[in-house]
Amino acid sequence: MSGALAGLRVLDLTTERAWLSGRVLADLGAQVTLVEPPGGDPARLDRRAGAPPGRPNPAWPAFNRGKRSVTLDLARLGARELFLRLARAADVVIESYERETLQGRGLGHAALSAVNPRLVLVSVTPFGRTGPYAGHAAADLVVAATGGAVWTNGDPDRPPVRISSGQYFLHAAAEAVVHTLAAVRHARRTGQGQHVDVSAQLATIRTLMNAVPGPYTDGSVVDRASFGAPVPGQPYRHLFGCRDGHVLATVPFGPGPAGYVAWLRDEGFLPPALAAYDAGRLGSPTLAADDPSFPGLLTGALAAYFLTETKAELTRKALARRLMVAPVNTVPDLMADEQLAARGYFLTTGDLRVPGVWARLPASPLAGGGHVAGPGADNETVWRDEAGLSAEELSRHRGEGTI
Amino acid sequence: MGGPLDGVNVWDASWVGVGPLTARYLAEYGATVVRTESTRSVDVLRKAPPFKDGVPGLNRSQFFADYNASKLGLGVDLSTDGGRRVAARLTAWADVVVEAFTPGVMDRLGLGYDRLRAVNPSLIMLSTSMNGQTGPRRGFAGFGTVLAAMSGYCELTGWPDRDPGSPYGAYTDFIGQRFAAVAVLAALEHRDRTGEGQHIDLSQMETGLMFLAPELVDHQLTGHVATRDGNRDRAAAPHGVFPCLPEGGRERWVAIAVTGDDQWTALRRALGEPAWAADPRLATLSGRKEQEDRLERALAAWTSARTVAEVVGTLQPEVPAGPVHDARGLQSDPQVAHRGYFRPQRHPVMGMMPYEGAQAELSLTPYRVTKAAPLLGEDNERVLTELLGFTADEVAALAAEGAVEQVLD
Repeated sequence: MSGALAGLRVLDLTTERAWLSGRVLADLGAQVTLVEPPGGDPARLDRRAGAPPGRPNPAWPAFNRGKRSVTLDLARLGARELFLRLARAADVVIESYERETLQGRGLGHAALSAVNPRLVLVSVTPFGRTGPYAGHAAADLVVAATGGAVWTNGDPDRPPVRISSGQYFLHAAAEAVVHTLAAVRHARRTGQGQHVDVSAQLATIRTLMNAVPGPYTDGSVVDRASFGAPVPGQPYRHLFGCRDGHVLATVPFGPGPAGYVAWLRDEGFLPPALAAYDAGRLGSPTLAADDPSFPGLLTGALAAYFLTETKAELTRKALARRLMVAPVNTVPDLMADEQLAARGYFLTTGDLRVPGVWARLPASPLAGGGHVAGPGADNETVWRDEAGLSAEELSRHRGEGTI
Repeated sequence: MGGPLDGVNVWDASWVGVGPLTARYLAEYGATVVRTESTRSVDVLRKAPPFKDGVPGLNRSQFFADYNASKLGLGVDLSTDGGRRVAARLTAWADVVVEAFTPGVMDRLGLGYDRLRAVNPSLIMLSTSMNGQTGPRRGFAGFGTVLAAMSGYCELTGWPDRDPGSPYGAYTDFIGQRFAAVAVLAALEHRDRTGEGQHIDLSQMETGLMFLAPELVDHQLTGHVATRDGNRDRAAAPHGVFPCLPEGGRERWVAIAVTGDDQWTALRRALGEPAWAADPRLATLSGRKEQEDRLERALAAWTSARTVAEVVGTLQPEVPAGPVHDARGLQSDPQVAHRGYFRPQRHPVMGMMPYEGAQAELSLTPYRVTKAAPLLGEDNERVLTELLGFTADEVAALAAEGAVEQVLD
């Protein structure tokens, strides 16, 4: 068995913003070749304040495993011809440079399709390659903000917040793969490649669920509301403290309030004020609408009980009762999660465990190898065997610092 | 010009978010997608706001409509004998089946992959669920809002001195849909090459964690435990959301992210070299991180006296900055408009409505929103006769025994 995309050849010119795209294609069996500057992409290293010299950027092994590496200094004279040699034999080129970078080097879509009409060029940028923001400087926070994913989050007494981890270029990078595969299918059937132009801002808007259509459907606009506080119109809060952190409990769903009352009773945490409800008055989850004091009583009792249990224990007990309780997991919790372990989710890359097997395709399983190539590790194979450079030519380009 | 998926038939037996969104991608690249639904267990999104003009109704939720554009609607109760006859025809017709029930439900309906494959040996089936089809938590039923907690996103949203927050809505759905569509398209490539179908098991927690891979690796490399930190970033400063002059009676905010020393220089220059920014120690990231509280206060004082447009106009294109849009802001954003993101389609009950469109432009085979979402069972006649080959008498029999359903208002 081989991967679903076995035989697909991808040149990966991306910056950190879209490393994920090539990783996903490599997972699916494509042959993905990073093209990085001689000496290696500076983004291989951790550039955060206080990082010791030489420490790897954690995103590098996460998103570049399973790829080959060649070096080429695209800014040098002669590099264009060398890159076009690679492009002749490629199916896909993915890049996430500033808008004019590739074109400025004579490697825009027109130049690439002139040497290979089947080639699919994929560009991942903050706002797309055209339009009034196309030349704007961006960062994850700015994409999140302009895509509407900041306004809705946080507490009303402080500024709205993003997720404290870069997300929205990853949405664009994953989204890019969907459209790349559509374009690859078209190229396979017609011989015609094309340019796929992905906007991270629009990929962000897609994450906002029913907040997007509010203005043109019922005039509503979603504003941020403190997560732990009661929401107007919703009698049950979601967030509860427990022995080792927090859990979310969604009381109205599944067996509903009656299921929680039974749970409290079985654990010996049913307060006298709730005992009466346990005797059959809980006909339906809509009871709360009939009795305004019930939700407060129930959430108070749940809060007291949950403080005596761990996240993992609450999740396990609720699952057995078909109640929807989820742990607020931390990074160490995720690394130790029993479900992920049971499914063999993490893959090993050197000493590191990396996510992972993101889908099970039994007839064409995701690649399991944990190889992370050093800079230019595949130069001999690619430049000599595949691009057809002679030993002398390769040596000359190396001497000039092009490869 | 045809779409890349012309000729591909998809039975969308799913509901809520990830499944319908995955099938919508396929529809908009040319696949024929039949969405099956039943009034016995109505898709919860049909009952979720926003409703057109605020009036609830099964065919009035734009939340539902947006996720089901470009599909045909078939109302069928799959638990009836007639429903099983329809399911058998759908199975034989389809290249791809999408389902999103709690693991085990399709088997109980007699629609597990092994049963369907007996009818159609090269069938591709996508099963998407919270935690996957195997393992101790396979039975976990839920939706993306609770999965955001289980997958680490609540811990990572909010303020370090307060309880966890959450990204708005079913956040992990919008990671899952992208990987799910990729998995189906890849399985189609595999099938075209080998003739072989397969049953794809996609856990939305497992796709969700792909976007936290750097944090999970960082923990192993450095011991650091990522948590919520307002809008701050360990690799950038200043990096935050700052108040601007209110507009239209509403608060306004701007996002500013200085991600490199050159951008700090550009920010100082754009602000006219203010005294508070003159300290030479601020030339490096570590220097700016040490004085981050002070920098944020000074920057907020500057933004508070200006509109969002003035701030962004002053800082761009050198300094990353942009408006913090609410949903109305998305409607009036010139870049969103330029990209033609919102695509109008006429819905039989709601009238002309914008549908979210393409996040990517393709030069040859653009993504096309071909029609509004179906009413429940809107296309019964056409699907049953033209696509599935039932005779008029058979269709009448299905209707008479209550196997097919329709809600047209």
